[in-house]
Amino acid sequence: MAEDKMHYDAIVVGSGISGGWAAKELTEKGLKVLMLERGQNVEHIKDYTNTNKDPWEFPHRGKATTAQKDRNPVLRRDYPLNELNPDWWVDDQDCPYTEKKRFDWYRGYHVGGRSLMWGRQSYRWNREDFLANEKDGIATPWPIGYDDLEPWYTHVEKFAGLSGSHEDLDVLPDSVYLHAMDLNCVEQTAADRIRKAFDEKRRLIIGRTSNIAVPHHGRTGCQYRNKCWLGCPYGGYFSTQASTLPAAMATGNLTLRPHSIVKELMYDKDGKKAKGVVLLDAETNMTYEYTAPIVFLNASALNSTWILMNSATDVWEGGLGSSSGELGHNLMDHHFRVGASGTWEGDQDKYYFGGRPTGFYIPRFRNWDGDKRDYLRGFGYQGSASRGDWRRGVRELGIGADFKENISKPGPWTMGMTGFGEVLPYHDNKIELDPDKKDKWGLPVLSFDAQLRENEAKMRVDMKQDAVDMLEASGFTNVSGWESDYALGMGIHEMGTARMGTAPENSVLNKWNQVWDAPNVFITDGAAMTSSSCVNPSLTYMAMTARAADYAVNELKKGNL
Amino acid sequence: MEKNTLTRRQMVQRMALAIGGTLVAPTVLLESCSFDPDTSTAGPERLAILDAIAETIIPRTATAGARDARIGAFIDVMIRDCYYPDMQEKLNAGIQEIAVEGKRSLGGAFEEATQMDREAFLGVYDAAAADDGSHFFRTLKELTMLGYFTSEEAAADGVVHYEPVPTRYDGCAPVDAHTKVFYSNI
Repeated sequence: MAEDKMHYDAIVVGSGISGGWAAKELTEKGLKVLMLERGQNVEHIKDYTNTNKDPWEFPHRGKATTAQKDRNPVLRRDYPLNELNPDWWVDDQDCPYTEKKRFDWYRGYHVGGRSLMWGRQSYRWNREDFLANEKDGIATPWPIGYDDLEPWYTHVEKFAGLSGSHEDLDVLPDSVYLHAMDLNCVEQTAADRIRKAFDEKRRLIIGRTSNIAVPHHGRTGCQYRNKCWLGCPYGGYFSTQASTLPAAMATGNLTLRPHSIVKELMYDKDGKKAKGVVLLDAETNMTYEYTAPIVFLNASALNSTWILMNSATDVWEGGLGSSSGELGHNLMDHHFRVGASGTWEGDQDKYYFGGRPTGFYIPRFRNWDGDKRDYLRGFGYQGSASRGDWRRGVRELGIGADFKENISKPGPWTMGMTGFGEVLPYHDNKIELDPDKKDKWGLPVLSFDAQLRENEAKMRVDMKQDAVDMLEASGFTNVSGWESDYALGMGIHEMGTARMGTAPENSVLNKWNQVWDAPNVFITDGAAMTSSSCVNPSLTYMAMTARAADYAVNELKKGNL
Repeated sequence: MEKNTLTRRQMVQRMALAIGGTLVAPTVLLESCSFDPDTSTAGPERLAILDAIAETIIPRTATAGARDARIGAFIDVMIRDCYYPDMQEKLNAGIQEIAVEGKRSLGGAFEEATQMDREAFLGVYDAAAADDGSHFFRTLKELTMLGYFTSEEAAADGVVHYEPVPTRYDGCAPVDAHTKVFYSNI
């Protein structure tokens, strides 16, 4: 039992995408590591309860019941509330939070965290992303650049296993790929026409995803079931369970302790460092203290910040890292749910086979390569082309035998896309501890006060119109732009609140992801982000984590931590 | 197999509350419960009218129809578990209207009429629902299609092309007269 040993070389708080990487890198470098996870264990394959079920085995065919809805007023706002993987989304009653302004917080408290349910889109940031704050004179400059992360992108990509095409674009640097999945025939035609119509400045490429279609590090690979979010028994996508956890376990250096809610860091104010963590056993409510010379916080962006807010409060009222005035501030997400769709009249003799676990991607082209808009930064698109299934018949006129026959044939081709836009780091977009409300364990909860602002609103106009233009230029008909309800958090790309920076006055973390006020505490999840780019962030967390772990071990060996 | 999903659901939830947690409850529930139309607590009259409505929309041809896939019971379970009282009332009132108006118009019980007569009668509702997304018949049609096109019967009879493990992706596959719509995940 974990209780037998109370001291480790390193403690990793959280077992999701970045926590798994921290555990793997630190154990492979010889450290004895304790990985803490606040939720239940989920064993690879064995605990993917629903992954091999047929659709008719679900009494409500995947739909949420009113009992589920009543219990989960936040989750019900979007797809996380469903019948297929309900135990992987955090229960709103057990873990409430306060919304001064609406914030959709979709969490995964279990071993593997959201690495089990993530969208898997994997993109490197580009060189300009790291320079943008400084050039635009907003927020604070990044303390690192693309060259600092480049070798670590390569390092994590080789192990994680990515699928994508080599395009040699400055705006979207290529990763290391095992293979590329195919665009379908309509997407390929659109890709060719967009490239030509927009003079090479706009490109439609296959989405880059952490799905592997070839065996890799003991994983079988993708079977094109497109049921990733139920857990993949084939190890088809990168997750803690399929990838980093087995590697860390193989070293013999990892102890994993589920049901372990870290309440705070123990802070040594004379030594100016953390001594370890205080945890609450979620099942027994017993409190334990574990010590280590290194602590990695990978509890997910906002929970890593929550831990800091609850630590060293006898020294700083706002908690560890609050001396900068930036702890809890600069909350970001990616804004989306705005784009266009259209109908394709051709290729009626073409279809596709299999469930491809990615769509297409259109890299950013606004405020890039000479383009200049009345807002900062830009957006990319994700989308796909497909033929209609039985769902199209619901609103069509028709019942009876002919209707049944027609609807069982592939329907018209349509193609749709949504933009994913950069959200600027606003100091006023913030989280703080609610002074009154407590969760199931009596712990304080977060209060959210954040919103989209003028820059994002202007960007959304382009996100709709540019999608319309590209579909029309490609020959789609019935093209219509659309915009639906978006609230911060819906992108499930929470970033910021403990940002990296160049000095203790402007940031919580330094260029090695160390808390300025406790250099043996590293934060390498979304909390560390100084800006948000417009590309999906997880691959960058992986690279940042591997880089920081390497630095931490070197510093430990030198006796600096 | 549990005979009553609702009872089991309530039992599991109460048990979970009693032990101070709910994280395990949904898994327990789903592990124990594949779709069994017998979980419907509807009486024979309700099942008969629901089956007849569903069968009118998706009749048996060379392949299974909605009644074969026991869609009446599926609709009953969905109305019971997935809709709030205002919508339940609206749907049940609509079902009642079909029964009453059908009997008057068809000269006998709706469910006993021929497929052709039932189609002619429900065609009016279908036309109204095509224009009005909030019409009760739109929801009945959607539930019928959701249940049927994700049923074991529709998969077994090849009404949809169900491939649990495709193993490959082809982005440009040919279509012929026999090609069925590829099953899409729920």
